[in-house]
Amino acid sequence: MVSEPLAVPRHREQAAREGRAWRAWYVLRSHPSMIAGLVLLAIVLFVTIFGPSLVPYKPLKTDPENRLLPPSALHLMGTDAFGRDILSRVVNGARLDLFIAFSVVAIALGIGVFVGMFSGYYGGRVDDVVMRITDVILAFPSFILALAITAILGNSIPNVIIAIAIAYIPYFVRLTRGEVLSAKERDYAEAARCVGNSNWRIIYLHLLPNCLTPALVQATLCLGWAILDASGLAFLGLGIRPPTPEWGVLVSEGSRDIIGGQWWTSFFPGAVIVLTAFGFNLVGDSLRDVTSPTEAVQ
Amino acid sequence: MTAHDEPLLAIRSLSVSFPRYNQRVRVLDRVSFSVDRGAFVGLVGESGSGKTLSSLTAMGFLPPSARVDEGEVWLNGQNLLTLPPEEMTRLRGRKIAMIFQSTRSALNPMMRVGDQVARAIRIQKRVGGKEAYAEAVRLLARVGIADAEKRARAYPHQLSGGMCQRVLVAMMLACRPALLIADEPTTGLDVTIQAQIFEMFLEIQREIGASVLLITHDLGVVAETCQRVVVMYAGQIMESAPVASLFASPLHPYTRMLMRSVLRVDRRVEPPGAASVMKEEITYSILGCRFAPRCPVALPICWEQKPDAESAENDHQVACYNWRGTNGTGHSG
Amino acid sequence: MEPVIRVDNLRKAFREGRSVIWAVNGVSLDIYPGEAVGLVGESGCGKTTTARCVLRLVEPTEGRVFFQGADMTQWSGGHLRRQRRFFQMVFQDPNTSLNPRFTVRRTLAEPLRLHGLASSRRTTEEMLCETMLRVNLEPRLLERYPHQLSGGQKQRVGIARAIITSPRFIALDEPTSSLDMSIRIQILSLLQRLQNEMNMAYLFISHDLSAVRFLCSRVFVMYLGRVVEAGPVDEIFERPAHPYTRALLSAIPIPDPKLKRQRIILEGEPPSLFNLPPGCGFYDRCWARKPSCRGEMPPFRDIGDGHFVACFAEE
Repeated sequence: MVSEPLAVPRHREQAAREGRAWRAWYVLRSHPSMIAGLVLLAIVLFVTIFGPSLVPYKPLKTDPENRLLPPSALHLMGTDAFGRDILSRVVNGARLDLFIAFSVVAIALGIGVFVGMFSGYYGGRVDDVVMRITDVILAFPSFILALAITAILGNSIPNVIIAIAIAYIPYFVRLTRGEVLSAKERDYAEAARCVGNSNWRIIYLHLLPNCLTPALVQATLCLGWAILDASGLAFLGLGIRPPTPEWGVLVSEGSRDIIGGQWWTSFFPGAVIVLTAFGFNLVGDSLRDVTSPTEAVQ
Repeated sequence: MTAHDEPLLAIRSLSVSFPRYNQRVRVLDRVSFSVDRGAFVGLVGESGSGKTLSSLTAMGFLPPSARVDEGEVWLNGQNLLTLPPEEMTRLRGRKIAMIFQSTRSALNPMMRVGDQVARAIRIQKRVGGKEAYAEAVRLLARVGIADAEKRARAYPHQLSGGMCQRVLVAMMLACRPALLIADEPTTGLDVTIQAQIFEMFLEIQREIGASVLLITHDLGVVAETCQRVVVMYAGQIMESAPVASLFASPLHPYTRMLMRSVLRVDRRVEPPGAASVMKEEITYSILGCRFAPRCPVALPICWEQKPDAESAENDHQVACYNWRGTNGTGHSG
Repeated sequence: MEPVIRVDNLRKAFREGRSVIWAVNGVSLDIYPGEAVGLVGESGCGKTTTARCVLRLVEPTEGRVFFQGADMTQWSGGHLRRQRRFFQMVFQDPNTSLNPRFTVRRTLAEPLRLHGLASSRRTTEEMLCETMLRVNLEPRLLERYPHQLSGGQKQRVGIARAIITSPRFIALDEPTSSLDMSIRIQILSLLQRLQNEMNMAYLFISHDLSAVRFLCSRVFVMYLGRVVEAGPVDEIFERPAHPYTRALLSAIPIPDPKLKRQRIILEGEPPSLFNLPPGCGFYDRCWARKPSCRGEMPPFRDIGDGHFVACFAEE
């Protein structure tokens, strides 16, 4: 059938787009905790990206003459037992900790969401098996589980990532499964089937974008928890070992100096752990409030 | 005391606004209508017309974010909007009652229905528990629930939608209000059940002599049950008239459009012409008549200034500058 | 002329715990090209389930469905998917039948892509615009998301999605029940126009008989999973034979205060599908019942003029 080419208007809906950005700003303004969290995270991010090039000292450079100096203008966070500048070590550690946190969440989110969608959509035996497995994993506190897995696999950064990720996967499975159980009953899922989509396309193209929100909120919270878990493991001597400047390692090394009255060697790394995890928590909690169905965002 | 020909309920120039981001949206705009004693009045409108909100205001059920910008709601000589909350609570049930759309959520899911009706009875009259329960069962039978004694022990989720609605009517019967507001009471119910409910409703109304304000979008129901009709659009009153007059000669362009859009079972309705295809969006920010964007006979003044209700013949009132601009017999050119 | 859709003794059972309910209990109907057939009844009558079985969105328990002579119930999953471009559905609630994360463009382009109907970008674009215009929507709305559209616009998108693959048959599941009065008749007129333009057959499921009267030429009345009456629309609406149909029609309010009608008010409610009594399901509420009605199901008999009814009562 030959016809004249129709004039196709190409202009996008600017007004609609602008409205959305403005509304997002309005929502942000009404959640001070979200702003606080974002500020904290922005600082951390800045430090992570630019920090190592800005600090005056090399993190591994030892300087025995200047060991255990309290915080001063030269060493803003003091020096440790080997004379290394703590600020430089903390700043360098940021990269490692954030890398671990994001890797953990990426793996847990990726696997958890995939399995959760599949399990929830098909139901039946598959779903039963998946649920029992997640039950088993969730029966253990995540830190203990990560500890056990690291002990089995051995001490290295990849192993720590895997161990913590395994402990977090069930959360994402459960959250996504919950969402897909109700989403698959919606009319648009049936319409997708009616139009000719295969099950896989329905699950991963149609339903998934609508089921991700709780998982993404959880992911934000997990970023904070992952830092706590990784540092905790390092503190106990598992996973990451000195002299790698990971925050937990720093706290562990510094803990020996407390008896001698040198508080700064473990305080600053510890404070940074707390603030970073707190930042993720604030953002995550605010996200949960903002995206929950009871909040009238319109 | 009020004279007998004073209306039971009179809403005068009521305006209610809601916040939307940093602005306020005037969802009801100078709404005025009244319900006479013993009358059966239909409040007709589509979604967004403000019909439910008007009745919620009369009941004092506005959400906290709503603000009454102006207006009065007179019930038996009292302005309900100025009453303190305790007074309003006393009036509810006794003088003015409401039946909602979603019946099941109007009933307490944790209480047996018999107990709920009995409780309503105990609040209204000073009777003991046993007596109230016996009366409750009697009322349930009165509203057409078969096997009332057994059904009284059921929980709301065990009853069908139609039966839940009857329970609500029974509770209302216990209170014997002077004014009953029924907000789309048969939404979601089958049409055969709907017929039963309305039949029962009319009987009860005649028995206790209540006035009824029926909120609905169904013109068929209005034609068969109401004596007077008030037509709303986008928070404004468009027209009000006795039912025969409204159907025989609708004057307002909106009402005329509605009448042309109504489907019937007794004959095949003509498809509307291309001229009546129009945009749907309601704009709340127009200063004048909110139907202007869709109106086939709109004049420039319609956008600027809201028309006052004008009396045509037979107690038929219309808020339009140009209702004569068609030949007033119900069809535009 | 061969029917587009032929349903042969369709039955569908659902299991609730230990008990089994037959939501569809022996339904047979046929739909010819270009005609609009109404399927009416109240809640629980099985009309929605029937429609879904016809499209095999739900698998029938027993019975056969023939699409243009071929037995659909035997098709494999892949073949069924490929054939879906020829039979589509318009859903009831436009607020939930469109994926909230998809733009209108994506929702409409998907069927084209799935069935390989657009070879190039330009063809896709042309087909999208053409379909939008057919349903009276401006093509610029293609970029919008569902929440940026009104109810009527959303439903038009749903209709556009159904017609974009040029199907032969569309099942319409209460397409106007969620819409306001003034929009309802516009959508029904649109559906009528589309049917004439594209020569499609409709199965129009509704509890709103006035909409059926407007759109359909034949109607099937269902009660408790069975067809109790069938025939041309005017015939059924003016001379209903089955007591249930008569009660149903008389229950519908007519927007004319001058008409004084004798209304038939039924007593009681439909029996639960869990405890279906033997014989005619309408027995408990029927005023014309006889003892024989309890004994066995009345057969579907022809009473002339294409009018069929399943009832023992004499005229």
